[in-house]
Amino acid sequence: MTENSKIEFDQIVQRYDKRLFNLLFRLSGDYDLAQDLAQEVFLIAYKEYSKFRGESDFFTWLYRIAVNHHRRYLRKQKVRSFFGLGERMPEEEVSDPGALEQMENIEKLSQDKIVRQAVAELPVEFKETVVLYYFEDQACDDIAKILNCSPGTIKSRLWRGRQILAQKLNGLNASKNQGE
Amino acid sequence: MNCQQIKIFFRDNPAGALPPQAQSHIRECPACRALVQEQNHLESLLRNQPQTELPPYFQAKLWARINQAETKPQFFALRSARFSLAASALMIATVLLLFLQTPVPENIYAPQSVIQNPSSSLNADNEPRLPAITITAKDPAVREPSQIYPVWPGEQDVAESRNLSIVASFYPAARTRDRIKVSIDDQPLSSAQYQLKEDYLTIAPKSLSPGQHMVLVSLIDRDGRETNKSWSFYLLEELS
Repeated sequence: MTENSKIEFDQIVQRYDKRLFNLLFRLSGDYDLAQDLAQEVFLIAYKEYSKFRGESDFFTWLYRIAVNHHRRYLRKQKVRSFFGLGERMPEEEVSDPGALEQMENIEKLSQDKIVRQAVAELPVEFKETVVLYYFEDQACDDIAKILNCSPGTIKSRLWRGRQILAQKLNGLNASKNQGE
Repeated sequence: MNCQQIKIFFRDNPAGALPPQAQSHIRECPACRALVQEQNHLESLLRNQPQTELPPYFQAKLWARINQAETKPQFFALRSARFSLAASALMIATVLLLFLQTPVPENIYAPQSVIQNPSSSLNADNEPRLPAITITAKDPAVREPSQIYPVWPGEQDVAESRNLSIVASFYPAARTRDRIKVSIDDQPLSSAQYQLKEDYLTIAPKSLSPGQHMVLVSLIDRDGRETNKSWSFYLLEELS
């Protein structure tokens, strides 16, 4: 990559790093894993950057890499667990003390934690759709491009995801109230 | 509108406001009213999720990874599955070929460039002949003298007498025709008491009493330059 391209890519990183990290954090439900995946996604994007022809929005392209990379990670995990090699569990605690402090600030909003947990537990195809639609503010047509399926499928998945979430969040709220 | 149509509306319009004709049905239907409330509540919960801050040094870590990846040979960056398979097969074949062509020494544990004792133990000046190193590797013609570094026991180390081996290393490695003198407590050792390789020396003293001992190693290279190193260590009494 030329020096100019590196500067350009650095600007891209600065612009999208938080969004990409948040996308992967919502998909994986694991803070440390989201960091690893986000870095790997940027690394892939860096290597493939010369192939990006501007036919789609850059972030759509980056999202597509991120979603595919997350799916690849899940497949690997499935294989690993099949062979009894252990599965990386979502971590409640984060290793970095600074990150821990940030996380604690967030955890104060327990409702947000409940929502995040409920989303993280969705089946992957519903989770991808819900995260892209609600958290990343992507339109159904754009999500269809990212996930390579029809807008009708996206709407259908979104509906199913909402139904599951409604059940989960009601349940979680009810158990929380019972606990109190 | 009926219950089914309202569900279809929600499915097809995730964030859409219900049309006016749905209002009368919702007022009359508790199930649809609950559905609308649930959907609105969910919408507000999901839309108001805060963004999580980036982990510290995210960008620094990322650029470190990118720079690291760039320094790796491009060969490994090629991602074609077919190419990788062919390359792996070629590598395995090469390794196999090399393995088959490498002659196996009769005794792989035997020192390969150990001092060869000359037939006569005295030189022309009637002095004890010092052993010479035989090295098969290509010797550099000119370079700085080798330095001697105690490995074990090091300076002021405490060792046990059981099977004591004193080890020192040379850097740069010794060359062909370099000669060595070893003494412990000012007593010269015979060549049978040590083994010399290109880059290290192993001394196996016959018997040393417990206490402080001094080792002196002198390396005289083929250009006549002499490097000396002496160090002392403490030997513990052997436990019964």
